[in-house]
Amino acid sequence: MIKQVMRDKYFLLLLAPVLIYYVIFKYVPMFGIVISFKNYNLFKGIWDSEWVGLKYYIQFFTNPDAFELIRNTFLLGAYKLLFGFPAPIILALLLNEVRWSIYKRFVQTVSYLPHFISVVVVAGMLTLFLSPTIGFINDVIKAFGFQPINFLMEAGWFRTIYVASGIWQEAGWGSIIYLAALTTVDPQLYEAAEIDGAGRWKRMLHVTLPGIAPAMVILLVLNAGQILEIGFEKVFLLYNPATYETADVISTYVYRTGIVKGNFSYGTAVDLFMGVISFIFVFSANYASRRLGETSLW
Amino acid sequence: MKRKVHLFDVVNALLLSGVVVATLYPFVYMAAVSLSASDYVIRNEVTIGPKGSISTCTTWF
Amino acid sequence: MYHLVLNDPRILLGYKNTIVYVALGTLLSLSFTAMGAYALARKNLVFGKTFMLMIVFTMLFSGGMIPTFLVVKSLGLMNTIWAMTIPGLISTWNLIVMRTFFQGIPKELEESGKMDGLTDIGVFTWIVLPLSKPALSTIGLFYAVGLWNNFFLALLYLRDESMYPLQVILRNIVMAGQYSDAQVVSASGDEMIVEESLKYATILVSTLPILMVYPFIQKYFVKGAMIGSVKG
Repeated sequence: MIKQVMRDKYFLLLLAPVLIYYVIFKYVPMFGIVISFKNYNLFKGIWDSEWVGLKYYIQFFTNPDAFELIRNTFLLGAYKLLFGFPAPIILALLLNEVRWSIYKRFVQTVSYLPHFISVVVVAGMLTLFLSPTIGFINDVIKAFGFQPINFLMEAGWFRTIYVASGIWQEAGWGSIIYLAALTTVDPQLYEAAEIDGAGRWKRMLHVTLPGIAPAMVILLVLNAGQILEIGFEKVFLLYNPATYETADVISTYVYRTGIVKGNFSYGTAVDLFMGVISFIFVFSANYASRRLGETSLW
Repeated sequence: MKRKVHLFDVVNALLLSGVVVATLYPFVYMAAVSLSASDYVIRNEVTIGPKGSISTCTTWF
Repeated sequence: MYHLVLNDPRILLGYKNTIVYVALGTLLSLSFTAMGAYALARKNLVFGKTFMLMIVFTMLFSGGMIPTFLVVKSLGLMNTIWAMTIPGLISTWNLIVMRTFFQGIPKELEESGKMDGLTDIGVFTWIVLPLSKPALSTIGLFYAVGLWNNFFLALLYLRDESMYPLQVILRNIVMAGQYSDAQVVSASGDEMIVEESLKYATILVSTLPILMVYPFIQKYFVKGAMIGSVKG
C-alpha cells in the first residue's frame, strides 16, 4: 500500500485540489445536515446548538403548504419530462431527413444557441414578451380582438411557460445525442429497406427509430430519475406571490425560509426530505439503466 | 444516386425553418425594438427591422 | 438607446466584475479539473476506485443549499471574488468528460516521456497537455459560459453591490425595473425613452459576447457534448 502511494505520489498531488474541493464543498455540507435535527443558531455554532430531534420535520409536514410544494415540484418535473423529452427526438428525426447538408448544419447550429443563453436573459425575455402592456405576444392577442393575458401573474399559466421555454432552450442541444446515435446506423440498412420497397415513413419507422431506441430508453430513464431536480434559478426568476400556488417548489421555498428568513434548521430539514426522495429516484433510474445494459451515471 | 424532391422534403424544410425562426426571432425583435425610435415602439410598429433608427444610432458617440 | 445602456455605471461595473470572475474562475476550474482528471484517468491509481465513487456520489446526493451556504460563510468567502469561483470550482460532469479524454491518450507516449527522465508531472505538463488542446478548450469554454451566466452564486454569496456580476444587474434592471440616474434624467428630458427599448438594449448588450463568439466556438461545445454522451 505505502509502496503504491509512493509510486503514485505525483498523481495524488495532482488530484489533491480536486479531493479537497469535494471534501470541503460536498462532504462537509453533507455532515452539516445535522443542523436539521438541532436548533441551529449562527452565534452558538453547530456543536453548541441544542438537539431538537424531528421537530422541524414535523413542522414541515404539519404545514399546510407542504403538500402544495411537493405537488408543484413533482408536476413541474413531470410536465417537463412529458413534453420536453420527445422534443429533441422529433427534431433529430426531422434533421436526419434533410439531405442538403449545409441547411442541416445551419439548423443545428441555430438550434443549439439558446442552450448558452443565461437563465436571467431567458427569464427577462419572457417577462418582457409576455407583458400585458408592452409584450409582443399580447400585441398579437389584442390584434385578434381578445383581452390581453397577464401570463406571469396567473398561476394557471406558470407550468406552460416553464415547460415551453425549457423546450425552446434545450430541444436543439438535446438532439445532439440522438444525432450521434443516428451516425452509428448502418447505411446498408437504409439501402436494404429501399430495395424492399419501403417508403420514407416506413424507413423512419423500421430503421431510424430502432437505431436511436437504446439512446431513447436510457435518456428516458435518466430524465425520469431527475424529475425532482427542478432548477432553482428559472423558477425563482419567473415566479411571484401571485403564482406561488403552482410555481413555488421545494428549492425556492428552502431559499426563502432558510436563507432569506434565516430559519436554517427548518430549511435544511425540508431540503433533506426532498433530497432523500430525489436520491431514491436517481438511484433507481441508474440501477434500471444499468440493468438495461447500456450506460449509467457511474 | 439522384432522387426526386418529395413533398415531404418541402414540408420538412419548412418545419425546420420554423424552428430557426422561433429560435432567432426573439433576438431579432429585441434588436429591432432597441434600435428603433421611440414613437415607432410605442405604436407597436416594430416587427423585424428597426424603424427610424438613424437618430438614436448617431447619439452613441 | 445604447448610449444610455453603455453609459450606465452599473452595466460597466457588471461587465468588469463578470470578466474578472470568468477569467479567474475558468483558469482555476480548468487547471484543477485537468490535473484531477489526469490522475483519475490512470488505470491503477491507488484508491482510484474509491475516489471516483466518492466524486460520482455527489451527483446523486448533496448536503443542499443551506449547509453549503453555511460552509461558504464560515470560510469567510462571502462578498469576495472567491465566492464566485470556488464553490463551483469543479463540475463533476466536466471532470468525467476530461477523464474520458485522457483515457484515450496512448500509453506509449507517456512511457516514452518517462524514458526521457520526466516525472509524472513532467509527462502531464510537457506531453499530455499539449496533446489535449481541443479537450482543454472545450472544457474551458463550458466553464467560461457557466461562469458568465452564473446567477445563483451571486444571489447567495454576494451582498455588496459593487461586487455584482452582469447577470444580477441585468435582473435588477430588466425584471425589477431599476433605472440609473442618467436614464431618469433623459427620460424627463426631450428625448422620450421607452422602457421596453431600454430593457431590450440591456439584454442584448449583456448577451452580445456569447452571441458573437458562438458561431465560431459551437463545434467545440458539440464535441464536448459528444464525449459526454458516449460515456456520460
